[in-house]
Amino acid sequence: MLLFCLMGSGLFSNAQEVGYYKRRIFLEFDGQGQIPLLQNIFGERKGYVSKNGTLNSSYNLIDLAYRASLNVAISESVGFGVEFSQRFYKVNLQSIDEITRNYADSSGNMISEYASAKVAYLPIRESVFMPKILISLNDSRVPCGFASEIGIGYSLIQLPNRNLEVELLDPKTPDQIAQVKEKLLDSRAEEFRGMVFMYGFRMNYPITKRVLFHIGFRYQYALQFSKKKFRRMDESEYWFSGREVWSKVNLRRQLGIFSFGTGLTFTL
Amino acid sequence: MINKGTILFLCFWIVLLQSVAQTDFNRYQPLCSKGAVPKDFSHSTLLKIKQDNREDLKSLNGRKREFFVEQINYSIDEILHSGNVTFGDTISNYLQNLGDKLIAGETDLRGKLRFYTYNSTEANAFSTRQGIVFVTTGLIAQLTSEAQLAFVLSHEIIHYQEHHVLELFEYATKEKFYSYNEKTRFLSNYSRENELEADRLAVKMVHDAGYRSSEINKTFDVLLYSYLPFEEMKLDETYFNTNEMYVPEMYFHFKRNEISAKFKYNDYLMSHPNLAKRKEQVTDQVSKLKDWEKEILYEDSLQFYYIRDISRFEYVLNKVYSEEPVEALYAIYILEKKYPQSEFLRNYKSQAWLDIMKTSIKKETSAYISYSTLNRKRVKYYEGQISILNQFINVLPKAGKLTMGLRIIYDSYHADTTNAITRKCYETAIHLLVKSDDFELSKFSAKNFSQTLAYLGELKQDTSSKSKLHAVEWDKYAVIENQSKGMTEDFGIDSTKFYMYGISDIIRDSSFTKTFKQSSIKKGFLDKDQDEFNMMTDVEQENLEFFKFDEEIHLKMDSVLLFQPAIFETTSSSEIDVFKTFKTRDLVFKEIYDNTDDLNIHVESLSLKNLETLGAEDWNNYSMLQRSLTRAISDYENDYFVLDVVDLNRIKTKFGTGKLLFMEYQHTYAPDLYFGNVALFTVLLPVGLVYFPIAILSGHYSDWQFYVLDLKTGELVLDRSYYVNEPASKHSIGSRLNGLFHQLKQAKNEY
Repeated sequence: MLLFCLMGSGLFSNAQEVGYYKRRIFLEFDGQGQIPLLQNIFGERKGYVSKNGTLNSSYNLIDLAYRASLNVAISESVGFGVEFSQRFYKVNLQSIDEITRNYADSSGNMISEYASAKVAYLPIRESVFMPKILISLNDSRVPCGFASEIGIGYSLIQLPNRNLEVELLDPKTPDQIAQVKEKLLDSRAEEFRGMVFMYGFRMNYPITKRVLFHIGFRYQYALQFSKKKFRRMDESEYWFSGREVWSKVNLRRQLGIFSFGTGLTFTL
Repeated sequence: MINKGTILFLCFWIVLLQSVAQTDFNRYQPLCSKGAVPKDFSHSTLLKIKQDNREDLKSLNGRKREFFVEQINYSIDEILHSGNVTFGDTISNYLQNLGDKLIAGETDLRGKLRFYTYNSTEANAFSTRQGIVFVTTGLIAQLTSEAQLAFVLSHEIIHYQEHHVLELFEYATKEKFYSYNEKTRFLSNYSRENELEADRLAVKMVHDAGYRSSEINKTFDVLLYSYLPFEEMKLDETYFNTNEMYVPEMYFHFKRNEISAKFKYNDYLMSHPNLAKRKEQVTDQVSKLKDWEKEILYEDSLQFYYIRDISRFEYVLNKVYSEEPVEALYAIYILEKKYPQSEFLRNYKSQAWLDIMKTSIKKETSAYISYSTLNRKRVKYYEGQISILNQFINVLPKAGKLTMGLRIIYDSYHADTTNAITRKCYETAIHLLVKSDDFELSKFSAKNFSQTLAYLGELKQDTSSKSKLHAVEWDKYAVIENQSKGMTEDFGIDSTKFYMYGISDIIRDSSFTKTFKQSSIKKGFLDKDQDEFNMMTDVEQENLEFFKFDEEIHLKMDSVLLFQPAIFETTSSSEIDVFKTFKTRDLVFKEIYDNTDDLNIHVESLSLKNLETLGAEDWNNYSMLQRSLTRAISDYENDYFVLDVVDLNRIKTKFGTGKLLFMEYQHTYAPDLYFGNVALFTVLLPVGLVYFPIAILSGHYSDWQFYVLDLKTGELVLDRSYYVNEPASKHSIGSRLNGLFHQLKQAKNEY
């Protein structure tokens, strides 16, 4: 259906001169990344990564993505495309080395529990499906030269590894760690959905008659759905309630607004 | 004692030379290069840079030396390749002979100096480190004796001999406060001290050559008044009168604008001292030298006046090409006194009048005409006798300009109906008349001025008919109508509308009326289209304009004549990067050929790519096309220039293609990063995160201009420009050209 849409928009202009050496449909493969250095230094407490079975304090620097898109030049200066990308990053669930939970047990009594613990970063996989338009700047010809890109994407935010490493600093019983791990993340926080508003600019350097290299930057604003669902300060027997996970993920997504990308364009 | 026989022989020889000159100038052809191509033209710039003898540059350090050699060779080659310089022509040969005579006593200079004519109306001469001396035709046109020319040449030779170019470069590079930009600009000029030195030594050189001292100081008068035409001649009150046209004398009684130039001007920051200082120094120098007027060797030779007349004809040519019709017409007026039968002057006079007629054409209103386009021409201020002619032309109303133009062009055409240029001028004039909307044949008198005067005189004497006419026909509305026909309410001729009585024979000419009607019918269709356009909604108008813009480039081009592209690679400080420029030039050529091959477009070329293969004829064609293109580009879509049509048709036949492609490309990488904004945006880092990437990625500036000239009609059919942030790489250029040639090859779609 997407291809059908692309072909349809391709027919919008039948001028032969559109595109790059007459070729109007092009595939793009990109790598994207950012180094959230400032937020690590000034904004966020260090989290933990597991190394040889122990949790070591570490900056949260990994934020990488790959992108693939199919595009068509509909005029000399405008292109349209659909993009699929997967972004991998991590969320620090802890603010201090402590985990807590409040819940009502089977008899209705409120139970509050505290434990000194280190919890590893929560890995996130965000898959984005994004229709976008490419607009060349000045008199450049899509896909060659300096261009802006604008897109609105639909995000699926998944937690590929819910079984996080946990280290109790003061275990009361030997099997406490297993109990904590079992009830670590709220089962409601299975996956989230959201949107991405993107503006980017990039320079496309032609390499051959079929291949171009591009390099550029993107700014994106992320929106996360189901705010109401996770709004309440709920009682949960999970150490990290749905609300906590939702808001931590949401906060992390707001921080990654500026990213660097590079890749290749292949004309078809 | 000289015997009578010798005197008779000399007289005969002078008369013969004069008659030869007359014939030449009656069928004058623009200045052309002739003979073998000198190395200055046939060697490429890169070769010259490589072979440059750097012996005299030991005072410069390595980097500065290479920069100097690159820039000096490149900039002089730009002049040589400008299309304005000729070699082997009468003037260049004359200058070479004169120069050789001047340096007869200077053994170290023998064989080193080359003299070329630089075709321009500016009065100037300049020499280069390579030993080339350029003298403009504008200067020669103004001089009054060969001694003055000898002084100018001597001055330039001294500049060369004393290495003034190099001295100035050293001076300019030592001064830290000069920007690179200023430095480059000042390379070819000389400091004021150098000028005075050159004047001082030139006096000695002229003295040794045997010229009279009295002529030397007159050179400064020539320079001071060189902004005026080459003669100050009163405009003859009967100049425009013919059997049919009568221009009243009152049009020649305007107040002449005073000549305002002064010798003692403030020369602060100028490259040359003021002329008063130079004159004073030269007078002093002359008095120091003895034995003036001992012998007169070459002064006032006939040859000098011959080349001066050539220069004056070239002055006319340049003024017409640069669309300065008043100067051109005044120069033609002066030259016509000597050469009344000159076909060249007739042709150029017709074109100059076409340019004047053009000013009366109402510009079509369009959303895409900018304010600056409409107000491009400034009102020019003239001094001296030419101001009378200027005021006469200015005071003429639109219809007056059109009618005077028609009269003169019609007469030029009928002087020789086989002349293709005057015929084309005549056809274009009729087209302009129709287009103007101010030209109604029915309003013009069927009698000429004198006939009408006699007729009205008779009417006045016949009191009965006068009262009858007044009573019956000359009511308020008849008076208004008759006023528009150039009559006063008391049966007189309104002399401000003299032109209404100046084309009675033309409006009776059936061939004229037939062409006029045909042209009117065509105009009717265009008006109808325009009316339809005016009735459209804004969106429809916009769509149509965009459609026309798109279609303009679809020229169904299967073959093309590629003219030398103008390509520049500049650095961030606006200097030419010579080596990169040539690399990009080669790249553009390669991509043109690759893409046209792919698209089966046949390419003929008139370029400077293979300089060594070019002959004098190629250089002449190159100069002609350069001139035509400059004129066509300067006034796109409003050009009624037909002088070059015959030559362009010749080029079309020679190369077998009807379209000429000329392109300009300038590229620079200059990201907008300098200390100020780097510091600011580093402090304001969130802004910097946006600013720096954009500045770095968009730092490439490529500016393309494409022009297509129709060699059949002489019109510029395409003027497209693209401004892109792209590097000058193989496929950036290649894909741009691929798109362009695709578009050029397509046929137009009908709307």
